[in-house]
Amino acid sequence: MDRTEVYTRLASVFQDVFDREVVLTDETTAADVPGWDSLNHITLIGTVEDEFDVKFPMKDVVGMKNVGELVDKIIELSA
Amino acid sequence: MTIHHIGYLVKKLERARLAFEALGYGVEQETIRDECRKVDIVFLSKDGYCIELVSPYAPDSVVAGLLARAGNSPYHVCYEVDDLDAAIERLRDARYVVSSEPAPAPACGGARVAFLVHPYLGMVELLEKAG
Repeated sequence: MDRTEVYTRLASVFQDVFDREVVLTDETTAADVPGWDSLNHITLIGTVEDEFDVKFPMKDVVGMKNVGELVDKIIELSA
Repeated sequence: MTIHHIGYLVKKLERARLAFEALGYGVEQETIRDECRKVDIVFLSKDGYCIELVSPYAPDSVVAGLLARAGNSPYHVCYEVDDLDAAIERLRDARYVVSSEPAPAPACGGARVAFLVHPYLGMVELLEKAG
């Protein structure tokens, strides 16, 4: 799975979780997305796990700094 | 795994308690402050059902954001389990994500609890049986 495909599917996940269209880049952080608080972050992770059929280690659930790291982790776990 | 209580998030604890008492609920346990989660908690019961009133006392409480977003409302069901770590492991496979790792809960006699969130269900609490 390449980054383009991950971003396409991830945009759909963000739309689902935050009820809005979100323009995602590697540098996007929680501060850029209204509603991306600690609780919605957990919902986001669960939705990503469901969409990509992956399971994040606990340290990664709270440890990712931006969308770029999330995409890297999805690709790593999908390999 | 059995249902232990329903968690009810409220802005004003004493007012909410009076509102439940008007419905016939009785206090099971007086107010306890959980300084780890920065919430005040009261347990009430009626007809064998237990309600946990939860009210954040600080803006950085773990549930302050949820209260601001959802208002006064039920927000989790707590399930009592024999083995907390095994239950978490099993639920991880069903897409539950741990939002609050196992820790002692002052309002539950120091028993370990954990909170998990499912993307299509919301929050659940797991409470480990004593002993």
